[in-house]
Amino acid sequence: MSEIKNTVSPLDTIGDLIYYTIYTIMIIDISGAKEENKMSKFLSDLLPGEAGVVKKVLGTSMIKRRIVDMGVVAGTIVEVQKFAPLGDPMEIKVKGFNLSLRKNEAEMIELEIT
Amino acid sequence: MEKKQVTVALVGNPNSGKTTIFNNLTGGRQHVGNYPGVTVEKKEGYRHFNDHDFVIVDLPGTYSLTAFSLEEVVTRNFIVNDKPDMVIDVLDTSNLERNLYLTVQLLELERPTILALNMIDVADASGLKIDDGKLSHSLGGIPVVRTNGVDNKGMETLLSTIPQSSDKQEKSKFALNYGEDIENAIQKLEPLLIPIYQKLQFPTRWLALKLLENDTNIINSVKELTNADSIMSVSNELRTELIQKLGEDVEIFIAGQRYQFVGKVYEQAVDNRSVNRVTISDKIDKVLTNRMFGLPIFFALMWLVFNLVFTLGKVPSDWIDTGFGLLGKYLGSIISDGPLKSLLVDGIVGGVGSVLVFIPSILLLFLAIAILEDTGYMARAAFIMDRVMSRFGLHGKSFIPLLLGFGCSATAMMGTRTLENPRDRIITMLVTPLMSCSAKLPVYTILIAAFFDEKIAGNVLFSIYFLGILLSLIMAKIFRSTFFEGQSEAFVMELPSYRIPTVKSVMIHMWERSKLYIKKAGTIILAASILMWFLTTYPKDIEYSKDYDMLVAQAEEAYTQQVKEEVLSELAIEDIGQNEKLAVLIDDLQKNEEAFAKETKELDEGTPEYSKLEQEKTEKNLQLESENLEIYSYGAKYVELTQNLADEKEKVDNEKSGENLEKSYAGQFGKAIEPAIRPLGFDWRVGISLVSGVTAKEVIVSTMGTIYSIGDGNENAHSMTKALQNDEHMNPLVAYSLMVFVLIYSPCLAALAVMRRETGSWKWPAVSMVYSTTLAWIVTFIVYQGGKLLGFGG
Repeated sequence: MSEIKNTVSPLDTIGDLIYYTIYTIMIIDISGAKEENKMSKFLSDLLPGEAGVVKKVLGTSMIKRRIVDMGVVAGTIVEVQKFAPLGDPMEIKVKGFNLSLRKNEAEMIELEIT
Repeated sequence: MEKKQVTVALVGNPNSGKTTIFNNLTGGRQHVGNYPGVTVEKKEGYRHFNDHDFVIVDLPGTYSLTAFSLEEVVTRNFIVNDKPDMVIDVLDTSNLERNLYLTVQLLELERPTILALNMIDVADASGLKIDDGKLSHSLGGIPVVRTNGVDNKGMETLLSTIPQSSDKQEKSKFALNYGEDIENAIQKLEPLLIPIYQKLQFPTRWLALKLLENDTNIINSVKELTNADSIMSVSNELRTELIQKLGEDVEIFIAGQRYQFVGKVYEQAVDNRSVNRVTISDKIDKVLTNRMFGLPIFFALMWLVFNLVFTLGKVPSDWIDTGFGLLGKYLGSIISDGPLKSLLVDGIVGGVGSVLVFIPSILLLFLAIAILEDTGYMARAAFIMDRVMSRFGLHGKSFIPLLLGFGCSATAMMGTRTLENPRDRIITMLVTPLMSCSAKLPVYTILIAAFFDEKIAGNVLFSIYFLGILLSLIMAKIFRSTFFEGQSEAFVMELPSYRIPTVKSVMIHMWERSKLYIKKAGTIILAASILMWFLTTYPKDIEYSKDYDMLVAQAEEAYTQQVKEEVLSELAIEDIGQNEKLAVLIDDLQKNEEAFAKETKELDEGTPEYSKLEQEKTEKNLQLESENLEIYSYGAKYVELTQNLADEKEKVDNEKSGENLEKSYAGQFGKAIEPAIRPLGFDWRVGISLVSGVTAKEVIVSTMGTIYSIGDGNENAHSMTKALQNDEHMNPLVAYSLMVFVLIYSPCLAALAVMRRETGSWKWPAVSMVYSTTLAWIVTFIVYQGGKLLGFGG
């Protein structure tokens, strides 16, 4: 699709413009759509008041075990309550109680895309 | 029912009210020790009820039974090795799912268990309806007792259920089905573990699960056994297979299964589950952890605590001070002169007294901290401060030990147990002593009172504390980036519901911590005081530079001569007793002098109060003059001469005592290190005091007291202020430098001992001692020399 029509007719130029504009939009749209599908959602992406369902906890560390022990397992609903006055850590509601964790820990918790 | 000793283990999540139940069941009959070989606290209590003797053990609060923390390992080992007759699982009923996660793990240890649905009032209030029968049934039929620890309800039911149930319950065969893949693996592994059951005591199914979970603690225990290799190879093979089949770590899958099971139990047994999502606690947090107000409220609370402790605590402190002063005087009057008197009065009463004076402040501080912890606000404090803490390589939970450090470093270091990661724990312990502890406060108070104006006293004190905090953050950052690189621990932390603490639990909480401080005063400091007294008093047989005795004799001779010439012969008497009127006059004049001296003891010359008293004295004397015109001048002369002799004697005595101190063991040592501390503005006297402070910081003041009262010889020497001001080496700059040094250098023996216990070796206490003393020298050097350059000091 990289051929360029070699005419000098104004109609053609406008036609080209329209064509390339649509082409460009389509490309952006497709890649955007791809991006959407690739994108995963994490607990750290949520804002106060928002909730999500846990899909998986990433990582391999002790921190992961700790998170899981506190009830953040696949299928659990988590809801963000607030962030601390200085911006970090965050407080969430899970299984009926309040849990606080740092943003970098929340980045380990992958949520289902709704 | 025969009389029997029944052991009961209390288990449960942190914040489930377990300790309140423990206190209720045992009253004051508790005893704290350590589990053999580890630094985890062991709390045991006793209760007699219905012909049974209960031994109740309060195990540490845990969320799970993994191998990742000592507390969890100790808990599961205790249950399986010590085999308590009954395990009571204390649950926070308003938080049932997460609490049941621990329950299912406990049941897998196959000991008789009872569930205590605690905080039942909170659950009821929020509308939750729990079917005890269904709950019990889904967990293998174990008894369920409703309790309310705060209101002391359900305790007797618990105590009566224990013996009944322990007789009935045999090995509860509760088994959670983990799904086909895992169950198959367990079936393959379990038979291999039957032979080692004897050695390890854990149920075989549990062992199989742990091996599949890659539990390091169990793996290490298994590896020590004879047929370990075959077991481990099968286990590893099964694990690899499972990871492939499940698509994730086995232990995470198992945890997920547990929660799934627990979720189902919860659904079946509990009604009205979604009622009241926003609790009162949440509403309170809307204010207390508010983005705008949270921080100011926090600082306001801290400021309040600080002032409460140090301002309110001053009142009873002054009483104790006076009390000990009187005790010292009393003992001084009934015991004859000699080493015993000196030891008792100067060494013991003086030393210990100056420490006990601070007990009111200590009690108030630990009271404040107990309240903060029991209400649940402490967790919020960690939540609010974590951003700052983590910037310096610390953890939000480090905030609490650091705060405790303002009371006592030794106790604070015990608080580092809440930090799971050893690295975080050690850094916090290394940095905590920079939070100026309460034992250092007497040093500051005395130096500030002597050299700084009342108006700026508060600011000077604050500057020292602030310097400490600043240095602690800097050092934490340095430690984290140099020696302790590595992953920080999880911050993941529960924010428990706010609750109104019971007076009883706050008091017990406060007393436990204060007890440690008081024990310190009783033992280490007493020993240190006596040691310091000895080192500063002996050797006694020293060579003086002058013949003091001769000087005194000469002065007395001169006195007798003068009195004879100027008073007695003028009045034609041999002795003042012969002229009654004269004797009375002299008596009166001396009384005036004494009263004046007593009243102006704490005052400075030139102040309005001083002048006023002086005025009064002059008036009284004029009165006497008018009544005794002829003999007044002689009486006055006599008094003057007597006073001069006394002054002369005192001067000689001071010089003599000064030399005593200089040539004592302590003085020799002080002289030896003097070159090292002279660049800091310190002389050997300060040197001795600082060395004594390594034993315990409180001893610095008592040593200075000893040094100045000996060097001064004055019976009013407990007025330290005057003594300090009279010391020609002391001036405001030196005083401030001394405060800075005391702030930073080596933690006391008690703190070092706790560090040893918490870290398991002397390595870290030694590091602490060396780095802090070095840092102290450097910073003080900068302060002192810098101050001199800027023209401060004298």
